[in-house]
Amino acid sequence: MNRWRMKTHEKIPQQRMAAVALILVQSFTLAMLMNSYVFPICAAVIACGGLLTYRRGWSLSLPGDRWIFVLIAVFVVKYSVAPRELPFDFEFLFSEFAYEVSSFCVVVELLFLFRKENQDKLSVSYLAFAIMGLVFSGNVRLNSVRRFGMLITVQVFFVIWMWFSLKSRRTVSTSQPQSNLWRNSVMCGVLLVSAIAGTTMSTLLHRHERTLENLIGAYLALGDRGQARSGFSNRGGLEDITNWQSDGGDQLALQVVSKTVPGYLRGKVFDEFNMDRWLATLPRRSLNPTVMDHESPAVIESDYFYELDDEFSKESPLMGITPVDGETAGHCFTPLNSVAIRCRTKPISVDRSKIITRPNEYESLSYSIHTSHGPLHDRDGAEDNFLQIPSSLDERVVNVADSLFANANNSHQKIQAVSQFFRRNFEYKIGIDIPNDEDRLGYFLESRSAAHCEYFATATAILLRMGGVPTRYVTGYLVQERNEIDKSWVARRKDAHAWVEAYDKDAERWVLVESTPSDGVPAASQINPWQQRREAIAHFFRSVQDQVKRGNFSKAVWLLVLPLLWIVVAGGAVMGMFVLVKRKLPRKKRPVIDSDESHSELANERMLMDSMLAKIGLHRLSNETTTQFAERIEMNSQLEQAVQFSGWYRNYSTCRFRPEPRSADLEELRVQREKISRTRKQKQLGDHTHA
Amino acid sequence: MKRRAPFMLRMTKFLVGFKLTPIGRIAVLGIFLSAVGGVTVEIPIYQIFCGFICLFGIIEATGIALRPKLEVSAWLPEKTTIGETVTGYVNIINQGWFPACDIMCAFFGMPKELKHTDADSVIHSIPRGEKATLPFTIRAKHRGEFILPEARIHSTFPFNLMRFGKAKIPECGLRVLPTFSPLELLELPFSHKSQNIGMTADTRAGNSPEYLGNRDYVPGEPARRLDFKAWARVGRPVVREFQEEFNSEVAIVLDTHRPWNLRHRKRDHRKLEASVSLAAAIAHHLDQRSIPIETFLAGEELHLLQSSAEATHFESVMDVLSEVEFTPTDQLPQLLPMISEAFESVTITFCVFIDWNENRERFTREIAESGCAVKVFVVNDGRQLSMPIPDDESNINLVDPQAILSGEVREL
Repeated sequence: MNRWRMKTHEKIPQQRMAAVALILVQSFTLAMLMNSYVFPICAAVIACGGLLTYRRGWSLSLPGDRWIFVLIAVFVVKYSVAPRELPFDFEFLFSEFAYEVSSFCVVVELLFLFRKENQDKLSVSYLAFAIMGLVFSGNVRLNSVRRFGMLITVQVFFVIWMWFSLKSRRTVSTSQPQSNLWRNSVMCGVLLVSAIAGTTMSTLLHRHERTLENLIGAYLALGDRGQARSGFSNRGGLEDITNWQSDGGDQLALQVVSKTVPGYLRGKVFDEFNMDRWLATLPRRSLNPTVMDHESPAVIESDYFYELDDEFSKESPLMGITPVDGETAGHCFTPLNSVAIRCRTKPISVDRSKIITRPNEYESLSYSIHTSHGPLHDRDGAEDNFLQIPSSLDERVVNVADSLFANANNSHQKIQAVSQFFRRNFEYKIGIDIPNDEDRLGYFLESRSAAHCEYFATATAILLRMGGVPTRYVTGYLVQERNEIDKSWVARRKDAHAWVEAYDKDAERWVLVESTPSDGVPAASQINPWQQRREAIAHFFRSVQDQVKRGNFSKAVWLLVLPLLWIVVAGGAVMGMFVLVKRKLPRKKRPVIDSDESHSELANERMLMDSMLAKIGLHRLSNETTTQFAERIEMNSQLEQAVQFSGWYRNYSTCRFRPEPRSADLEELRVQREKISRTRKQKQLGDHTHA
Repeated sequence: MKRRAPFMLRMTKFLVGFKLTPIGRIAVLGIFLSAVGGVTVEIPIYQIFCGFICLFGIIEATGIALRPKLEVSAWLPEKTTIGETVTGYVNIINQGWFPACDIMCAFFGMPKELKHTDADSVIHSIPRGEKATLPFTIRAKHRGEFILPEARIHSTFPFNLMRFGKAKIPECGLRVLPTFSPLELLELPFSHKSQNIGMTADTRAGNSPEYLGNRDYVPGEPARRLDFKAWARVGRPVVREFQEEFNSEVAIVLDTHRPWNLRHRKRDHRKLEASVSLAAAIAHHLDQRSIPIETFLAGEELHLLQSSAEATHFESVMDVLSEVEFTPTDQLPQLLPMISEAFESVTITFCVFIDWNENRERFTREIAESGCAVKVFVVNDGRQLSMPIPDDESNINLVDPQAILSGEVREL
């Protein structure tokens, strides 16, 4: 006992009292929100007892910070091993985990109270655990009464928090009079105003949630949108698929190689609907590859084979799917009658609805789906999850259900009744304006407003559940468009869709229920041939890339070489044809090149004459014909023998262009030239003699 | 040119370092935590988020509106010792229109060797025009000369989440001296130049040989020593006999060399602290016995102290010791020729070594050969010595660093 007993204290510090009050508030929150009573009551009693033990001087020595890690380990073990026993009415994501964290924080705070090291003063880290505990205890859905209770509790928590904060300091006494009245008045005013402002802000946020959500949705639509908004995550809002459609509608999402129309490819199945949101709560199981005793040549050898249903046979049709949209790469979009899958990932996880996910699959690798020849039977029946109805269901929905199922006796009739109800009485429109204080489904069914596919699917699922028909809300793609170039099927983002699968007890199988009016069901769009060619080429290169990612380099090379071989073969054929055709065509007469020797002799004569005139100083220009040159010689009055020279050139011209030059003409020109030359030499000799 | 840090970095440093108090930082953590849960109104975490945001906004607005206008002046002692606290005072005059509430003092960028122990002290209110005094206490964890950063006198009103106000105290210095356990006995080694007992009444300026008496002249002695007056008086040749008087002037050598080695940093640091503590204890003991310290060699720095009969320079030695750090290179062999002149007038040398090796042995031997008595203290537990200490050397003592630090060493 001496180890526990320390010096006694006459007065309990206000900081310690505030700390106890914080634990009481957290205990109240845990009890109110999470319906846990034993632990919060115990914690509250121990916390109050902490005040007594403080006065008595009892404390526990826990030096350092290691005890916190030990406590974390204890809670981790407890969370992993201990059974879940909390009666959550309004469970949210990881509510059990949040409860454990909140409990852990309360325990740490309690230990702070009893620690010997904290006897003089509590550390400010106490507040960190307090706020963490409060935040995690709030991870649960609330009805309006509890929400209001929480609102008040939060404000009380903040007041105590500030009390703790103020008392965490040491006061220096001064001789001056203190203005405590003014100081306390200001602090009270700040607390009051902030409480009012916080309450108002919370109320406004809750009231205008949809407006805010739309704003955020609009913002996200402009920028990068992750899986959380795509409608294929574990939570599905009533605008997620529509947002996905409108965000880059023509962007390719899937490329499917199949002999038949792929149709509805499921991406996610949701089973629980609450607070206008769908949740996928079905447990997943990890699936290991199945050892095959037969091989199908159409699939890639490096892939793993997973059998999903006993109805798989060697003749099961095969469908190759390539996810093009990287944001949904981890999902496997499969038809309802899938019986086996081949993919590169190992292992895969699959839920009760045969929704397959490939964990750690960040690359868009293709996969192949085997489908059954006919509809698949599910003799195990549907689970209770598929009959879940929201806890706070609007009365108008109940009325509609009652009127629809008044004359329906079996599942088939009920399905038909609901489907016909929507197809006949409603119109399709993207976006729906619902007043803030209205229940969405109730308003939609009563006002028969035009809406988008999520509303039709959700209303169908809820109405059928109310009629006792198990349903599941499905999001995925409706694939109907075909690329005529490479004969593959394509799905774009605008083909994203939400529909319902209902369990037909008589037929013992799930059937697809399409209640969206026909103009809201994605239809095959008319894509121009050039875009089809571009997408076919892109698909080809995507296939090569896919093979490289899988490590099938030889196949990738073969894929690349194959078109080249085709080009070579086709080019060779065209060339051969050209040669053959050319040989068959009649030849044209080629112009005969004058090779008569007399022409060259003529040219020699002319060159001799040109040389003679050049010595005189008269040059024949390159672009000057002999006739023109002859005229220019005649015009030169100073030139002696001008007539003889020009006459020679004229004769030359006559001989040169005569069709068949005669040797006599050539001889005549030579004689004439020699005569001119001789006369010219004689004259020059005479001039020298005379000189 | 020094590049200015980016705005966001400066803003973050300002927010985390000054604007937010420790509780304010936890509140910000709460805001971020609740913001994650506040993405949907399905769960009530958004109420916590809204509450925090409104509270923070209103506190900020109130704090800015009521931020104090203060005139401050401060006083802080210049010296303290390791482990001791030193208390300073800030005089605050409220010059604003409103009472200055929740006034606190904080040092930002305080050296890690110092700790502001009463950073949570607060004056609740200072009325308009009034004056108050806010004490602040600083505890030193390590010796050295530190610059205390400018202290900000601020208000955390209301609710101690954020700080407001711009009043500052300028930077000031604080010297942290080493601690030591006083020695009860320090055996001084014998030196021919030394006079271990007695005190001189004169200063070094004007010192003269001491007259002992007359004796008969011995043939062969210099004639200038003859005392002619006494010869006339006693009738035979006599000479006057004098004796040169020396003070026991001491040198302290503190070895701070530590080879570059990432291992055993903590152990070596403890040895250095023990050496510094031992050197301080020796200086203190000499100061008590009025034995002047003329030369002080600490690491690479040689301090020649202006010796006098009245001053023993203990304070100077302590100032030097407060800043001693490890030296990566062994400077003793290089220093020896340079300090030989300074050691001419020294009679006793106390060497405080961390290790014993050839360099230290040669250093000790050469000092001893110069006529100076040497006493060596090797601060080592004996396991990491480079060379064993010779058994026949009585003036070389091995001292356990742990014993020094725990105050068990009282006699040397």
